[in-house]
Amino acid sequence: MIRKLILTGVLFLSVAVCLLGLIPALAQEKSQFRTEDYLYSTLEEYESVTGKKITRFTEAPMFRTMVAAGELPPVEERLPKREDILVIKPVEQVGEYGGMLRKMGTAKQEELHTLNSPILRQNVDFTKVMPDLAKKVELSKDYKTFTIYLRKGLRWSDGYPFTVDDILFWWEDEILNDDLSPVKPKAWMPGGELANFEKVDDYTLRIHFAVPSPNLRMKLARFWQTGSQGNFFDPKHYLKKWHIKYNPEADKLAKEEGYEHWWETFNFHKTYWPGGKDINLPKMGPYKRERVTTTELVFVRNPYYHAVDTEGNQLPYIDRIIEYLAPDPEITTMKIIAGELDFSIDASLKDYPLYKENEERGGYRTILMEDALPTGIAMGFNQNHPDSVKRKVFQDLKFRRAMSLAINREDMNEVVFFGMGKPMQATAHPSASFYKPEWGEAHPYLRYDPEEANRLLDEIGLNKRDSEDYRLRPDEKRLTIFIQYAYTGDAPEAAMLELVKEYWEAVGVKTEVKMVEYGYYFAYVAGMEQDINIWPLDATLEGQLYTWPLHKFLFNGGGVMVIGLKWHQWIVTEGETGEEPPEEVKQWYEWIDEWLTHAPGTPKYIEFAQKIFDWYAENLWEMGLVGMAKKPVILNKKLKNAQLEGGLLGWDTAYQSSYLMEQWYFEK
Amino acid sequence: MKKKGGAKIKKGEISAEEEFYVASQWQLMWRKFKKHKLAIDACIVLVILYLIAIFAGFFAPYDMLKRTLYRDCPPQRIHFFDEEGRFHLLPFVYKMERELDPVTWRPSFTEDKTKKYPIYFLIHGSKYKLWKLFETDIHLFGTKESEGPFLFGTDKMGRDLFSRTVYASRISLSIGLVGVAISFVLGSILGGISGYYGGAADMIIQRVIEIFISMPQIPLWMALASAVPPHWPVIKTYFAITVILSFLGWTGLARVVRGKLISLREEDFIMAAKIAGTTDGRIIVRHLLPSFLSYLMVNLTLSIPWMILGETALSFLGLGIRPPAVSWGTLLKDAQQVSVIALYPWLLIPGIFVIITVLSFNFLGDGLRDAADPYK
Amino acid sequence: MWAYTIRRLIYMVVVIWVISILAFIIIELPPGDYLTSYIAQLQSQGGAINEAQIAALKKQYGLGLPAYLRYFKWMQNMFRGNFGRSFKWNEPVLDLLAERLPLTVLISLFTMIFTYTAAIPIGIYSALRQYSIQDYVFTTVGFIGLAVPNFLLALLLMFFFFRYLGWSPGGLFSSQYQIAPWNFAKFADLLKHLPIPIIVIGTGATAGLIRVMRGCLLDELRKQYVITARAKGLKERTLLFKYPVRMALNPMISTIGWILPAIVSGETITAIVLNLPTTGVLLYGALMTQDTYLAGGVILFLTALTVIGTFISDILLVWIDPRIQYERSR
Repeated sequence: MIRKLILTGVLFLSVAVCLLGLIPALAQEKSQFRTEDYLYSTLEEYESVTGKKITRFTEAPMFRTMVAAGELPPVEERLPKREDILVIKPVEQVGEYGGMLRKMGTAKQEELHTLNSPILRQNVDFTKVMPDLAKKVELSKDYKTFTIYLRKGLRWSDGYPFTVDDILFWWEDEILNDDLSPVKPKAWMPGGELANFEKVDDYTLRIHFAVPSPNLRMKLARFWQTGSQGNFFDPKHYLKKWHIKYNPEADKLAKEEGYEHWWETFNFHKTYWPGGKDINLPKMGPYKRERVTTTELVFVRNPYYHAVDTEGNQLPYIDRIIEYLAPDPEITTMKIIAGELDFSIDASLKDYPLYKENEERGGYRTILMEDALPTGIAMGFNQNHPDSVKRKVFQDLKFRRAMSLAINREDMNEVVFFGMGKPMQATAHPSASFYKPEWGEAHPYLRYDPEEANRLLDEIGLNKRDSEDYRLRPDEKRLTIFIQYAYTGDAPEAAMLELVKEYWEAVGVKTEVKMVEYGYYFAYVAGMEQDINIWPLDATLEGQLYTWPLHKFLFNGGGVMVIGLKWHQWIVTEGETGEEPPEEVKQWYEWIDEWLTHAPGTPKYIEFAQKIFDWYAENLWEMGLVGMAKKPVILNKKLKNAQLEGGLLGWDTAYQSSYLMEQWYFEK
Repeated sequence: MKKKGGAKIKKGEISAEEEFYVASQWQLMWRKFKKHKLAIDACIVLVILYLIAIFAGFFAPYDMLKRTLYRDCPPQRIHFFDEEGRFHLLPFVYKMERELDPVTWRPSFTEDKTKKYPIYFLIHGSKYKLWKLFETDIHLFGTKESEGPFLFGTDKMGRDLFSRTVYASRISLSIGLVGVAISFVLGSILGGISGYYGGAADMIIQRVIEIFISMPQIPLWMALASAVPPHWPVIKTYFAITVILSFLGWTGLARVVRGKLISLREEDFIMAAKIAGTTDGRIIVRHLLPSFLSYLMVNLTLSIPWMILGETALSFLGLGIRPPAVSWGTLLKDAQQVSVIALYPWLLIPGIFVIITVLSFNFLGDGLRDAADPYK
Repeated sequence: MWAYTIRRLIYMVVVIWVISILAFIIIELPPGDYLTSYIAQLQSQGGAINEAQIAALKKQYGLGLPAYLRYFKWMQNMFRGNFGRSFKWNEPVLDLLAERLPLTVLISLFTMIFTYTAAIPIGIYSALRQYSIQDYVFTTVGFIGLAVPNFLLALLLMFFFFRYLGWSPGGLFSSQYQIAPWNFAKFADLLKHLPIPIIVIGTGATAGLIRVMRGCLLDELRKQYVITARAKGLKERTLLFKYPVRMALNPMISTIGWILPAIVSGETITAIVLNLPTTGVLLYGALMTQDTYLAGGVILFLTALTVIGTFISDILLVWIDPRIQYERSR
């Protein structure tokens, strides 16, 4: 009897201990932050959904003084019309106004705050879009017509009203103007025809496309759309004086400012980023620029930001953001451990022990997020290599498979990522709705199998070796792969490629690795001389894939992953230049064009997406290594409402802005 | 002691003062040089370093790219006594166990006292090619199981720092010599022409020298080095870097040569040679140069450390030698991190080598300079 | 005297002109141009750039012109006071230089003062105690400063000052003063940040100067008049400073000619590590991205700085010691 009791007791205890062990694990594994849970498209919606009422609006103390002095209109007049105000629910609790957020200004971060809020905004993994500048976007059933409803009473950061006129100014006076846009953007020409913009009223716009374009909603939510990639709107009231259509003296004005032509000075003034030097350029968004020097950037809150929290406090909470510019990344590390930064996503994994050891003294906490790159870097062999022998080798699928099998990704994970990454092939991000594991972590050629690799290489005719035991090509010369990569700062390329060299030489393929300056990388790759393209694999979240011209991304991948430039040229110029690609490549382009005409969630959408990526995965055009690694992020202990633990982070998530930075605050 | 065409003079036959007058120039220099203790020490140090560099493969237990599982390992302790107090003739190391701190992920190593690996000398290890000619596999020391010893610890890829430092010395130590050789040629030719012929040539070359002297080195090196195409193989890049370094280095030598030539060309013995019909070139080489060879040597010796430091600076900026080639500069670049100073400070050891080398050359140069004018 | 000055002035101008050509050539050497770098930058920050922008940029920056035309245009503009535009910062080069000039000059000046103030006494002491322990110690310490690579020393010092003194790492100001208006506290904070760069940059130059000072003084001390003065019973201290030291100082002034480039040069690397907003840092960035006009402008500026410094020192030298003028005008 007693023995039974004891046994049961022990069993019980062990189970309890196991469960207890799970709890911390579960606690750490916070589920992905869902942006959509905290946004209400309008105040009207908020009140009807929650039944609560917002009775008054308040603003930051720094504005209160300005209002009292008559420098600013009262907050009710600065926000959009009451029923159209955007409501954001604080993640933890309603915050306090004040403070200055200190961080390092890398190019990406600088861009983030300098750019405008988009028409719609993305959630973290870009599977959904939510209202931002627009309160609603409607699609016609055939996906050819879109109606955008802007918030009534929306204003630019200088107080001027934001209306459809600003969008039309961009479209008609910039895109359609041949001096400013000698080449028209393909993104706005689905089906080969330019879209048609129609103003319905000051706050309603209709866009007509020649073919179904269901991805417009996501396109409008691409954060980077509103700046470096080509705005969707521009402050007409501010810029028109430099535009020849509105100011016949524009050329003279340009000369006064030191330029030759009106469009040069127009471009200077309309540029937000990079290098946007006109601080007075009005913008939309929680912050606007206050000060720009070569050592720091300071952003101050925008008095006309269109969002409030659930108690009617105008956002953002934090008064200012300061970004320090420094040439050496070790400065960032030093500043972090000195506690001089309130937020940093530039911390690197290799310094993790250092950060942890200085947390107490520095007054910050180190959390781990997940890198949004499915693979730190992707590698793609050049299918249009000028050397015909190499070309034949690279075009052989068995070769690519062998090279993938030769890589010991587990080892790489240990050495470079502290074991905190995941071996993955290059493919869409697993969060995509159409994702299949066999494209990524369950890819048949992901495993480490040097014997099979050797066998395959022998099989395809690379079986002869030279005096140093390196394989020879069919023409008796030694087969050497030259890897030249550009340092991007997004991934530990140097370490990973050194290992790749080791693995490939172990199966007899001589490999040379060299880091080059990325300006040089582009010239080199555009000249199609490279053996293999190397680049961090970003833009893989669903929203990105769907709104990006994918084929461009693979065969002429934005100049970075140029696997088949000649094929791409052939298809794009319809046979006039380039080289004719195999039938399946042509077919693939057609599948993509077809895919883009189907709306997300529909069976055809999933069907074509899977066709596209099946083919992509099967042919191993791009190889993956290790990705989705843990990423240390530094947060000041006093910074609240920032729920980042375990979340995705990367260019794809628009970094931290999909985590609703405007409602972060400093606890006093 | 030898005199030209004469009988040997035995020691003690003449007084020390007479010895002084009778000794040849070189003997006097050697005597003065010996006095400068630091210079002698420096000389010995440099000889050792260069020997190590020449026989790099022999001295290094590991290949410079070889990875082991011992990542971020601090310098290993070599034991003669095991834990029971027994003495072993052959020193040994213990197996190291690597652990990551669960909270901070900091790697720490503990010795596993149950596994000993004795260090053998003249051991057969991994194959390497001596000067790309002879293949051999004998290393000065190592363990049979390739489990160390990591005299300087390892880096984050698990590569033995001692071996890498040894291999790196090949590039770092030779760049100085090659660079200085180029400077020597350039400087002597230009300085020679300038000093010997005078006139317009002198004026032009003088101006050119002034231009070069007034240029700030590092910005110019940076600009030149950034122009080196990155896809060049290591050897080509190496020579490009040496040329860039000597681009600014020849001026000092040229000035010295010129100065000396100007003061010497009026000397009688040069007049005599001219009258005898010797060609200008022969005059310069046979008569003028030897008389200030000592100054040349001093100048050259003092230029070498400048080049070594230049190489480390360029490599630090990523403009010099690039991985996977190793030089002390690239090793220091890897160590140029806050994490390293705080957590893995042994990675800074190549810096000590740089310092020692530079110091040694400076002391050597000082000694030579003191000795160069034995008649002072 | 005036003839000499004017001659030197002309030489200076010629030197600067030659360097401008050199600078331009050097910058044009790497393949590609700024546009490629710029596009690259955009890519790495976020995917493809649209063709419209590329074409507009090409037009905007006039990158289609051949090199020598670009050079002439550059020179032409410079005479009008327009040093071109930096592509990256999208600002006139002159403005950027003006922004960074005060600090660069300040650091160079302070470092020079530090160097000379340290080197002269040590040099004198070393000469007086030649071959003694003190001599060796100082020589060695001086050399160590020379031997340690600047960037390493900078990082080490920055780290240790931070770890053991709690000083804010790097930069010119601690974060609370960075954008604050100028007041005494801010100035005090600035002073706290200056020692490290000055020490790092200065140590190398100091070593060289110590040697020169020591050598010069030793030469002087061996001269006849010193022996005579001693024989006459002059006190050692008076003897020392009445003549030999002052004589030995003369060649020291000419050393400005090579100290200044060394300092400017050392300042480049150190500033990168310590995050000081000087021109050297600007140059590094410009070279990396082939920001032609900026790189050219900075190289020209730095060289001009050293050339002018040398010029001033030469004039000073002639002014102080008439013998030299005689020798030079021979």
